[in-house]
Amino acid sequence: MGTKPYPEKRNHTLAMVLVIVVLSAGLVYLFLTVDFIPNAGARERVLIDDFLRIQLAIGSVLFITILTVLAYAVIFCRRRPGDDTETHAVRGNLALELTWTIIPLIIVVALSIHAANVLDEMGATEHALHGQGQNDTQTYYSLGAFVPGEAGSSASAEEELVIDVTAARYLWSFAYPGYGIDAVYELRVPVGRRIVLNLHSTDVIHSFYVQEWGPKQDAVPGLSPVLRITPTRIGEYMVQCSQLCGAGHTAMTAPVHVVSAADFDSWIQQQATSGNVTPPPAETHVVIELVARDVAFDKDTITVPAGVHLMIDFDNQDVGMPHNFALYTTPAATEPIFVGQIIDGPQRIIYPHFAAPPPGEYFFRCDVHPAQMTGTFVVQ
Amino acid sequence: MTFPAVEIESARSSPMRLGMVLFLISEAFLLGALFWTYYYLRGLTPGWPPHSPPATLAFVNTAVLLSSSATIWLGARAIRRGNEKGLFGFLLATIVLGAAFLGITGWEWTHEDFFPWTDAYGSTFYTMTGFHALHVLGGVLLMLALLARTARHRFTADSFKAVEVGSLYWHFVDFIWILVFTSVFIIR
Amino acid sequence: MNKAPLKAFAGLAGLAAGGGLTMLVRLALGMPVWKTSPVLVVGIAAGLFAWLAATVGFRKLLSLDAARGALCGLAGTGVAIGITMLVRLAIGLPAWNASPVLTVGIFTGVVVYLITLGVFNYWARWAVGRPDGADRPKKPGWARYFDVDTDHKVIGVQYFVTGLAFLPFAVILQLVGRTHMVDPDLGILASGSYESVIGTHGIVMMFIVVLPVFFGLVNYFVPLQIGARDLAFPRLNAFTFWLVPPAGLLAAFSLMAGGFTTGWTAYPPLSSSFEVQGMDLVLIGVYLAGLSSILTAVNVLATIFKKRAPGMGFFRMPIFVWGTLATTSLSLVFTQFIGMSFLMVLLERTLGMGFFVPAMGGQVLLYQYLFWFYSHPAVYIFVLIGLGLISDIIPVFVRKPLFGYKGVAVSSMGIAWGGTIVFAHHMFAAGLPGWMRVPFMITTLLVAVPTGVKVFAWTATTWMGKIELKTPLLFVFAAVILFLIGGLTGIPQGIVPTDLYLHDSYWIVGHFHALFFGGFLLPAMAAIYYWFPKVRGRMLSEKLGRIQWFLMVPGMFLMVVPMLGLGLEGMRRRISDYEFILNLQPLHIATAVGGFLVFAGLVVLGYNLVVSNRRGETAGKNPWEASTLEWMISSPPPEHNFDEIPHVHDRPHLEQHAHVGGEPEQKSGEKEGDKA
Repeated sequence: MGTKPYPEKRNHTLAMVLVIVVLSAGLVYLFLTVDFIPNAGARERVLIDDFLRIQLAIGSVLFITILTVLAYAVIFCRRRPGDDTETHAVRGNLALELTWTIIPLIIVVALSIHAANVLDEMGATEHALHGQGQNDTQTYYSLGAFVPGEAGSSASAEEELVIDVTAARYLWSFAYPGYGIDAVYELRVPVGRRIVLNLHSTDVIHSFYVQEWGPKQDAVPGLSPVLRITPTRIGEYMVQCSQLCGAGHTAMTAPVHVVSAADFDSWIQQQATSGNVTPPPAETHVVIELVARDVAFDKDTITVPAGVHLMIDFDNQDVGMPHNFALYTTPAATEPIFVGQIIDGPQRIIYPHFAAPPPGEYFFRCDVHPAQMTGTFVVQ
Repeated sequence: MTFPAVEIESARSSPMRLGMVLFLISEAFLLGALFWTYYYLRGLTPGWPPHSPPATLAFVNTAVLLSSSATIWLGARAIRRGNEKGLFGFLLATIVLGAAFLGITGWEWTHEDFFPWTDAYGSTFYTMTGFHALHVLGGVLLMLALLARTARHRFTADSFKAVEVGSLYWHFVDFIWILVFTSVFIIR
Repeated sequence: MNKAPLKAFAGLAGLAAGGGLTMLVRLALGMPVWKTSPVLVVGIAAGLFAWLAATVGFRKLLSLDAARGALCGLAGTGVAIGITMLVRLAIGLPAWNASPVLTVGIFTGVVVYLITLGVFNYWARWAVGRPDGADRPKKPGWARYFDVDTDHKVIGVQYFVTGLAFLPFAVILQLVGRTHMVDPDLGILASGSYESVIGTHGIVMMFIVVLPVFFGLVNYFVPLQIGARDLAFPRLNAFTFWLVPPAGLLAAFSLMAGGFTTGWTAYPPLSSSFEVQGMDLVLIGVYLAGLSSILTAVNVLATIFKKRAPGMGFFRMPIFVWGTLATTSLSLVFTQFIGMSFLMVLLERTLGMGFFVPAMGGQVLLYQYLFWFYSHPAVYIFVLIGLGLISDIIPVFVRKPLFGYKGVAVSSMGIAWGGTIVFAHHMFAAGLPGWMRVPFMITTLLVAVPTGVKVFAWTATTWMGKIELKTPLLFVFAAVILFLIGGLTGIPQGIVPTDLYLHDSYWIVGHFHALFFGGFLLPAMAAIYYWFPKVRGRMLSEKLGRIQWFLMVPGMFLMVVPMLGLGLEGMRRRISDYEFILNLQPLHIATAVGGFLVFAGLVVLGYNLVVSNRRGETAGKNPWEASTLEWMISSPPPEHNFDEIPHVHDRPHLEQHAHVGGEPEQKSGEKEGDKA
């Protein structure tokens, strides 16, 4: 029952195949040549970019095929007015169904194998588990092409630069244990050398991410995940926290400087002489500690240099009492410069950074206790 | 409601039992989540378990619950033979044993030296035993409903599906207790 | 008598009374008296209620189960909160602590609501051996839908309308978000507020729109398509629907309670911190919605297994039913995991428990394992029914049976259960043990195979058919394309190295929106145009349908493609400002325009529904000349569905699928080019 379909299959099939081939070839060429993911700045990013192109190229062939067949059908296979019959019922075709099950299976397996190899080449991360208060670590290596063993590495262990990264709302701090540097707030690394980032978080989950470098890795309280990167381009970049960590998540960033080996060495020297306590003048992020206790601040004057980004490390030690830090132009407190989130004590928070206002005298206070908790804020 | 001749539905068996089985499969996954939590924390946290809840009362509770499974099984067998009074008695016994289980669990909780907010072990212990106790409470309420229906002569030798389904639930809760007991008090 | 002044006065009086009462309560609690959202919301709700009472009549209003339940539930919440605060004072704690007080209050309120609503009445009467009262006389007209009713068709409409009612709310939330992102410096949303807005958008869309809309369709049409008179457990069905309105209100009101800056995924330790004030309402709301979906699954699975018409073997069911089977099999078991993980966060917040606190011996990642063990199968729960709809609607409008029916049927289960072992692909950057990533990558990619089977089958069905481009088919074709984009963009995410770059970027957002559009929203639109004639006995306007299509579909592309582009550029998701990264504003403008177009399409749909309900062309039994069982009965269907249960002979989408009464006329026969 049911009548034959309208168009003659064989004439149009050829045209359709041609359209598919041409459009797919075009898209594949685009994906494989155009640099549509900008600013690769690390070895790992290049590996990711190249593989992404291949995946998108394969996907686009499939997409064009389906789209073309459907478009063709919609254009040429319309029911003629007045024709109330069914099409003759083709229930299925085992050969075709097997084909479209097996071919994707093969593609998927091939992609997996290649992906495992790329992952191995990246030597992406190693996960170290720390037990509570103990030092025994169990280390797992990415398996690569199912061969257990060390992740592929393009640098020997000696050449690796180990950096401890600590994330705390909303501040990134970096320590260089190999060079005795405890805490700086900007990441400075030499180009071409493999860096090993040990990620720590003291409060909630954060995530380390530099767009030009490629991969992300979460910093998880209680764990010490590791991210290995080999930067390949000198320049200024930015760490962006990539796991929602609260109201200040958007602004939780830190500058990254990829410099020449010589510049890096001289920076290390500088750190050694200045005693690792305060960042050298070239730094642009300054942390100010402020304590609230017994409904009072521990400082009534805060002085900062001009032209820096300020982060207030605010420690509310009053149990059950809400406080905050808010900066205004004048004691009338009509024009806010920065208003920090109100937190209940006991709690400590590092407010997201904000640009220091132009040199002058300003006014800060706690918005919950505007009469008792006030101070002068001087920018020199 | 009456319908014309071709009424096939009445020939199909009641879906009540299937419904209970499906529900119990779902509850098994609920407890699976709790067991996952217990064993995951046990595997990763050194010094586990940090507390040792005494096993003696837990053994008693196990005996109580196993007996209650026996009583409800006997109750179902009784009504299958048309023995309504027997069903009533065994249901009552099951309820008493279930209440005893809850009472002992409550006593245990109030005499532990750790709380749900003491540490992760405490949280897991109380949540596991707590969810199980909630299911026992649900079972006791179900048994009470069955008891009320028995008192109104609603169950006969040909029609006691609710008793069957209720006893299935009860056995499941009992089985889960065996797993909880083994994990928390024996394997530790 | 002209009631208009009375109604207006009642409304205003309610507004004033509600707002005033809120301000008094705030004063008593020591909070600043005025805060816009709580005062306005309570005031408007009270005003609406008073206006309704004046319009409909106070007694009549209260005779509605829903009104009675809602009022008592609210009162119960208030009383429970008061008692909890007194108890806290008595044992020496400060009276107010948002988490425990609100949690106790809300749970109590929900229980009171359920009891006074009357959902337990059937079982209570059963327990004491009395007739259960399911056959009491029903109220006429719209009032019936505000009562507890056991008829699956009524419940189906209740679910569906509830879902559709929350859809504009969720969409408007996101429109505000998108507008903010066009120029963040305008400060339309403060930081912290933006994250709350998008988080609420996500929760409401997934749990209060997608699930109720699809379960509404399932409730109404699965029994019809398998030849049953109702679901297996009608009284249970009545109960499970009424869990959804409070779930929706709780999720929506979380914004008022301070919002939550965790995104819908609610990861601890952030979600356990008190900074995230609105978290409790969301956790409880989702818990209720989850309970509803588990019990629906019990009911629907028992129905599919036990209530099929004679001759309807599993491989003669419509794919809509196969999709439902796959969905409910997942929903039955995996929902417990989001229930448990959300409950554990709630316990951390209210009682200070420490499952995820390292200092207490807990593990942060435990939450993610438990959460994603549900939330990955959840995405299949969200789309499998839509995919089933596509598989059933295409054959009707190309006048050709589904190509490779058996493969498509099996692929529903293949996708569902294959998708249970892939969940850790959401955690590739989370700190998994290194060895876990490759196996989960492999399992993730394998799910592409059954998915491909569906897409190829749809294409082969369409090829050489006799296509009638009616509105349902238009929406289905758009669904196929968007779903395909969604699926293909999933491949770079399933592959570990590329995911490490794309994770938590706008690529992900574009990917899942394409899948939600193609797997939920567009098939739901198709289903509306397809089945409205059956439910209401009237046709929806084809012209308005096309207008809606031309607004929504380009809008969806305008949303999805720029998001994918933003992701490639490396823009993080869930951030409220992008001043750091240049040249991204055009893409954000495009996304916002797309969003507004989609909303405009929804407005057209709303207008179409209202107008066609009154003046649409009358639909007969089977306006689309389809073969599945629901088209063999009148439109709208009678209360008992079928006068005579049909006999089923062959697959759906064939003329000889089923017939009613007498001898079967033909065998499930051989045809040219026919393969089983």
